Amino acid sequence: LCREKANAGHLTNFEVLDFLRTRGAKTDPMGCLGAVAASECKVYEYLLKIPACNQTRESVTEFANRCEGFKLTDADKQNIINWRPTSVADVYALISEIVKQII
Amino acid sequence: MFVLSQIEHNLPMPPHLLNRPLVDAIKAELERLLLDKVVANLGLCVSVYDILSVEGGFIFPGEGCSTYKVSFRLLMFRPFIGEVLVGKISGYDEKGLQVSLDFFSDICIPGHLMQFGTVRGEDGRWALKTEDGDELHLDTDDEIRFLVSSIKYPPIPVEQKEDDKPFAPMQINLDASADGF
Repeated sequence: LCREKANAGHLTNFEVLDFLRTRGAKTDPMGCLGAVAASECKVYEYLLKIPACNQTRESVTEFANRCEGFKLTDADKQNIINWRPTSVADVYALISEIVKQII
Repeated sequence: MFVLSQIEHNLPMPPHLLNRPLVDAIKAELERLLLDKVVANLGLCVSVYDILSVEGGFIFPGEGCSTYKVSFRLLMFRPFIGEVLVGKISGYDEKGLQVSLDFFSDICIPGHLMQFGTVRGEDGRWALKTEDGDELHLDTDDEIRFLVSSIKYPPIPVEQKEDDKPFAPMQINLDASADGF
């Protein structure tokens, strides 16, 4: 295997869920035989249990646009989109070097 | 958690797949080779994302299969250092906790990277002692949030004894000591 680009782009959990859905993944393991492999079904079932399961493309895009004014790194934005913090304590845990950001 | 990796590979196409459309046959062969396997320094392959280009199709002397030079993108599970993940505790030992995401289980939190005040009790379970004197046990199937601290790809062992644990080609070490975890 020759690696052209080890990192050709990060994907949020929602984008991976959307991709597996368009490939034909379903919660019923017998229903997606042939369309997707069993390992892909396992990833799909894991993604259905996390906040990505009820996100939409529009909401993720809008969040990314609204973040422009804040000094958030790409890693912070990815963590927030993937885990959708609901309290200040959650945001504190997700954003690196939050003290510098506040200052 | 998930990253796209672009790879180029000289793929031999077995003759029994040649009756299928070329792109489908190449995708099937790539999935057979790479799906659910760990590629060193790239991570766990979750899916073939797309095929960018296919060239060649030459048959080399002495072989029955045609070889194509395929450029494609793989969807890899490779969390970055500093990413927050949520998983379930699947076991514990003297070194620390084992955590599992449903599709990947070789994740461990070493004892020294747990929350300050976490100690191992006499029954083997890890517990966090709070300032009030309460003990909060970390039991199996509890959900736990953690920060990725390092990812290792140990080399394949040449020999394995019977008692050794199954070889884990990708090991993720975690840090649960920061505030909020």
